[in-house]
Amino acid sequence: MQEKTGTFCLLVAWCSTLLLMSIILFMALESWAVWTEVGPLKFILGLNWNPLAEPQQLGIGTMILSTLWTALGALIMAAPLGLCCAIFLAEFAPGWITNFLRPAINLLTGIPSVVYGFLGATVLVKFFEVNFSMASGESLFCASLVLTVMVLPYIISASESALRAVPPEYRQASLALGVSKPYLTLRVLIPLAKKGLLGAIILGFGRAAGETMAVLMLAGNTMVLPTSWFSKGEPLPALIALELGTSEVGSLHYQGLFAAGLVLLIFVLSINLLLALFRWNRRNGVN
Amino acid sequence: MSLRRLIDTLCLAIFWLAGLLLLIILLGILGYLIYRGHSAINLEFLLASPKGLPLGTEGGILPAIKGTLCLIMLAVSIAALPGLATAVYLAEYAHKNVISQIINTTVQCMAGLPSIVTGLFCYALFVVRMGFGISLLAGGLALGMMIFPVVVVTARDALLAVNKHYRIVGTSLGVSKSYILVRILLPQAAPGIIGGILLAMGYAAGATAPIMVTVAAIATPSTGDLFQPVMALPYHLYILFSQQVSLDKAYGTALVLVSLLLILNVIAMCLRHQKRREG
Amino acid sequence: MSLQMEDLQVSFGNSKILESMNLSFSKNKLHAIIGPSGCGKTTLLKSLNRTLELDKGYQIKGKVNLSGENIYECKDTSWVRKRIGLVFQTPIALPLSIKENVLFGVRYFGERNKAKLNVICENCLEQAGLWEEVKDKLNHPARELSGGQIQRLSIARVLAVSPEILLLDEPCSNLDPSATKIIEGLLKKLAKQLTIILVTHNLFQAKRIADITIFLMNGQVIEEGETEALFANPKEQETRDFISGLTW
Repeated sequence: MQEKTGTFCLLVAWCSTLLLMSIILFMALESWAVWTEVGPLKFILGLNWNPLAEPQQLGIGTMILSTLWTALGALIMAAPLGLCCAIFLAEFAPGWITNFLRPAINLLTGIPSVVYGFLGATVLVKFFEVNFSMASGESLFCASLVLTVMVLPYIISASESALRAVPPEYRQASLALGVSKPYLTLRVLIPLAKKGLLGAIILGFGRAAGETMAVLMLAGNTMVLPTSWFSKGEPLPALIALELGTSEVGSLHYQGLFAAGLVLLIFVLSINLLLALFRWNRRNGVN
Repeated sequence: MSLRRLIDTLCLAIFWLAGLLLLIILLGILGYLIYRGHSAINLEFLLASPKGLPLGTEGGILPAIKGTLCLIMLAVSIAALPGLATAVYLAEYAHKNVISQIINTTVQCMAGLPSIVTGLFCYALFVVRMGFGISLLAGGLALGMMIFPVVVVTARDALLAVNKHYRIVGTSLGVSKSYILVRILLPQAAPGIIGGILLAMGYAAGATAPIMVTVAAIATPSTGDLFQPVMALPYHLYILFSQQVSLDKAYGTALVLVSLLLILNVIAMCLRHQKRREG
Repeated sequence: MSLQMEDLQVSFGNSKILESMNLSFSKNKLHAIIGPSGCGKTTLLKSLNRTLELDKGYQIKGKVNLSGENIYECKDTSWVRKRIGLVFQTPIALPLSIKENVLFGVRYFGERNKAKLNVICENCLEQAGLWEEVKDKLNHPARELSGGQIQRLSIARVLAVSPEILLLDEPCSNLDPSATKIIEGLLKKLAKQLTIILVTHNLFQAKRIADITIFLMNGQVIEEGETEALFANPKEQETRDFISGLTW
């Protein structure tokens, strides 16, 4: 027999699930005209975004490229650094350092993205302008650099818990043979925790791809096709944040922004689903 | 043997350097904010409205502080109860079945939702379709949606951390599940749950993207009227910087915002940690 | 190689776990350590190859002499652990192939010669009585093996770094009777070339295979002697009680 409380809680839980579905549905409805009039292929691969011109040009290819470039760039830096930090915390750091660093990492996640963006824009961008005599220092690279710092704590805490989930027997059995801790880590712990570590990196990627403020303030906001890591660009979230307020409700421009939002949503959602699949597999895995 | 020694030492050095770098990043961020921001902060900065031309070069940030507090409160009052109920379901009633699997995954996905997408959705639904306009209500709903998964996950973990024996003892006495929940489990998990809510509040206070499109205004007295826009600290910081109003005031605002969040986070951490130690 | 403990004391916080141990283990004999649970058997074993200090909070005093040299004065713990191998209670398959499991330590200690590695692998698996069962699937992941096979693989892994002393902590407690029988036979054979110290919960096991039996209780050695003599004619009351099943 289910109790009243249980039924109530189940109901609320279902509502939250439905909310997520309704977000997808709603965004699809709001952007319907774009998919039918412009067509998905032309919208996603199109390189020109000019919603006020005649005829309107709606293509988010450059923005998608910028998003991928910044997020992957951040990952290239954050993944190795994060893994090393996690290994340090889980296996090598003395107790007092761990006790200090772990809460500190939690605090890093508490610093809002606008502050990261602001610091990046005033410190990093200035640095590039002064030292490399650029006219303006914003670039996809700057955005990647700040995103690296932002996703680092997520990658660290997820991979640390993956490493800690390795049963202590493996450590004992290896160390009792006389091998060193680095050898143990590289040959036993990392292979054993690899699913969790990969999950941590995917998590970081999802965070980096969906982040708005840092890229808005650092990527330079120009709609040219990015040709290198150091060119400027406008990732999807920045486009939405910049143009939503000025677009006329119901216009194709407005709907184009929702279509862009939907693309971003589906992209990040599939990353998260992949992650859920990973965790599910791990829980039912042999180890 | 010596090659192995070399590799060992190298690995050790890399791992230690990574840890050190992390420490430097953290202390660097905080130190630099304090160094640049502390001179801007005084009583007037905290208690006056923005003044000067362009607006914000003089005066203070009181309306932004008020607005942010209103937003946090509204977001928490919207998200706390549903979040807690979902957590209770996941921790106490779901038995590893397909339904709990689906709900867990959904909550995870919602936690990973880009905040600008939440903003976009709330803009279309609340601001445009339902006609709330750019308003505190729309912003509160957006932030509430954003922090909902945080509340669920932290509350669920707090409940799961409560000693299992209490449940067995309760059940063997023949009392109902909800009685055990109210009398024992919720009080036991309370520090963890409250800690989680504080964490969610900090998350809401720092979010910029969703409030940019649903509630924030460049200058308004922030009366707290549900259908009026308010100012908010993160958006104010963004404006001060992006419109090149005043870098000093921007650093001051950033410092105020970060201090507020750090305080919230530290309290949250203490509450959640204390619970874990007992459990 | 012989091993002597000289006044070895181990404590954890304020509680003493091992009190002033003076034991000597003689060359090429199979020693069994028996005693009720919680009497310090595992601690004793771990203190013999310095794995105890990996767990935080233990204080260790006294000497353990390996052919006259105190292992606690040796700076290189890895050298100590290589010479005194330890097999744990839980069978552990490292996330590597069967062959790489055996060669795990050997590679660390610097052996690169492929032919030599192959010989070591075959010899150790042969010694552990596993060669016939796995010779056709050396490159398969080790976790495909059964619990008893994995435990023999663990023994092979330890043998591969050619230890002089082999310590085993209840190696059969997680295994079924037939796997236990195989391992017991294996240990008896190994005792011809190695000094073996076996901690066991199972009195019959000690009786079946040990040359010398040591009875431990509350962190103290109550009695030690030739296995047959100790079981047939225990000198101490505690030993008698334990053997007849009064204390567990």
